[in-house]
Amino acid sequence: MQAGTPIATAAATPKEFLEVSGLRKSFKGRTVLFDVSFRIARGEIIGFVGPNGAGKSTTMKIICNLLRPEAGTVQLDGVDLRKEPCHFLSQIGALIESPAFYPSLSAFDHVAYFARLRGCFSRSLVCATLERVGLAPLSKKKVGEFSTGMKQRLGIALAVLHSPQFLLLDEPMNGLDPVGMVGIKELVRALSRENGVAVLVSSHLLYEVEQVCDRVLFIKDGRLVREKRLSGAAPGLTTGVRMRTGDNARAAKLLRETGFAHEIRETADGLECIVAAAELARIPALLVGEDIELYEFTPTRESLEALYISEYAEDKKRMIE
Amino acid sequence: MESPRPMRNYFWRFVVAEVRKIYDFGFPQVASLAMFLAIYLFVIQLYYVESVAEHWSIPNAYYAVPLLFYVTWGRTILLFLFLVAFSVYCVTVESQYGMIRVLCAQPLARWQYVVGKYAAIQCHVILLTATYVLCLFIWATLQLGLRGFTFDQGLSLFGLFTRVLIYSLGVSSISISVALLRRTMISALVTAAFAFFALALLTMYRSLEFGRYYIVRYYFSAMENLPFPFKADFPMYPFNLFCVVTLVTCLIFFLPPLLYFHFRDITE
Repeated sequence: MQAGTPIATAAATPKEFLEVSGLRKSFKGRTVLFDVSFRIARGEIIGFVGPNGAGKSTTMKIICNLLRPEAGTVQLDGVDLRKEPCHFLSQIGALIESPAFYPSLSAFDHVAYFARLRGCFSRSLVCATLERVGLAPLSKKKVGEFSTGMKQRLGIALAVLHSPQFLLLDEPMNGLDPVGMVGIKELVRALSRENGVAVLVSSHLLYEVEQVCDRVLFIKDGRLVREKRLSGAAPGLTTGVRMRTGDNARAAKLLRETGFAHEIRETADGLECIVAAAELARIPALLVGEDIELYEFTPTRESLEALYISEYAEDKKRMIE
Repeated sequence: MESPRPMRNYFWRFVVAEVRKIYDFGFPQVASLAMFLAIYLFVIQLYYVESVAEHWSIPNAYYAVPLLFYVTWGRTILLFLFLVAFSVYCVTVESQYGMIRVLCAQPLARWQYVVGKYAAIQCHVILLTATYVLCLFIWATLQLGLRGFTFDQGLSLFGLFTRVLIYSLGVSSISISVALLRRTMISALVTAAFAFFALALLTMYRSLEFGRYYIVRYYFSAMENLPFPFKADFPMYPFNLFCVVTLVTCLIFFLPPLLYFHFRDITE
């Protein structure tokens, strides 16, 4: 992919909500981000994956105004981060790495503090937020006595407290037990589905990303190298399809023109593409109707882990060496 | 033309939330209780162990306060040391524990974060200083009563409170400024100690005239205008100069963290 070109959300995204464009950042003369650009639509859940030091956290920190980029812009619903930082930040909730919190304060005190700051304090809201992340029974316990997983839940509580429009989660599953992971995934899905919250989530737990995200962005050495729309995210949203036809080039052109499929790739023996689940049944009829012979039409599901390994194979090799 | 976006005033909410958070830490309450009890112990020492009333004529609390204040002055430095440590803790607790990442992602401009920190900590400094002076007065009153206490004497005691308060705010302000430039409590405490030591040294630099313009010199200014029981004069600590010096010193210390925070990356 060309540097600086936003990874477009193609036909499936209704409207861009977050637009990151041309981000560049250096630390002590070493450039760690090169023209990172992408877009996220309202209600979309985006995974952000890559090896350690690839630039995931740096990108996320720039989006929530912790780092100043040397170039590039970040806009949320038309609000520019540089020009109107307060208005921008009022719409986002963020969990950046694992904060250690104030050890002498309780979970309730923490949530109450940020609720007061956001101007939405009420005892019932604080309790409901703690309930939502499963911390209600421990609300009076000092955070200094919390386990990593409990702290992670508290961090998520602080991020979702004020009903943000955009949620930024950096390694949200760290330290969570399986029940906690399921709970957080359900929470993220519910926020996206019911409130139209856009979510950017970075994680090394690819299976979890695969389950919860609509799309995944791959970052490597400070550059976005690939985008993958996932089939398994919102049930029935999209699916991968492998097909063999009598005229692959014509079939690809037709699918592009009709907008029935995207990410269409011609392989050695056919075509691979991503299709909206609702359109899946219409494609064979479309091709046959245009006199294109259809030999094979197989919905596929490529695991994110396999994709990841193929994308970062060199890094793996370098590590082994 | 695009209509102005609705914007909440997060700054005052931040100050209120900070004041409450510091209260939740529990230090102000513990410090107030400690002051109340410690001053009571000093009173017992003065009046019962050292029988100070037999050596000096002390008609009422008004005359007792400066005595108590002077004799405990060496211990009063504990108040200021506490204020330094308290201010440093309240600032560096964020960067030390990583909460600064969460705070700086809130809808606050960086200058609002810095000024809000000052405002919230200084609210507690005002309360702690008031507690200190009030404790002096309460214990002196309980020992000697208020017989013959006049309005003018009340004003003089209020003057004592004002001077101690300004000094406390100055000391705390310098500590906050220094702490905002550091990322851990220990490094901030060491830097604050160096800053005060440097200010103290500067008061000795060559001529006394030059030394008049450093806040550390005004350590004793609180006793100006009080019926001081010992023969001493404090003409070198005029109140107006004290106020100007404190304000200018605080402003000089305030500017570097303000600029630093505006441009810094939050990498903790």
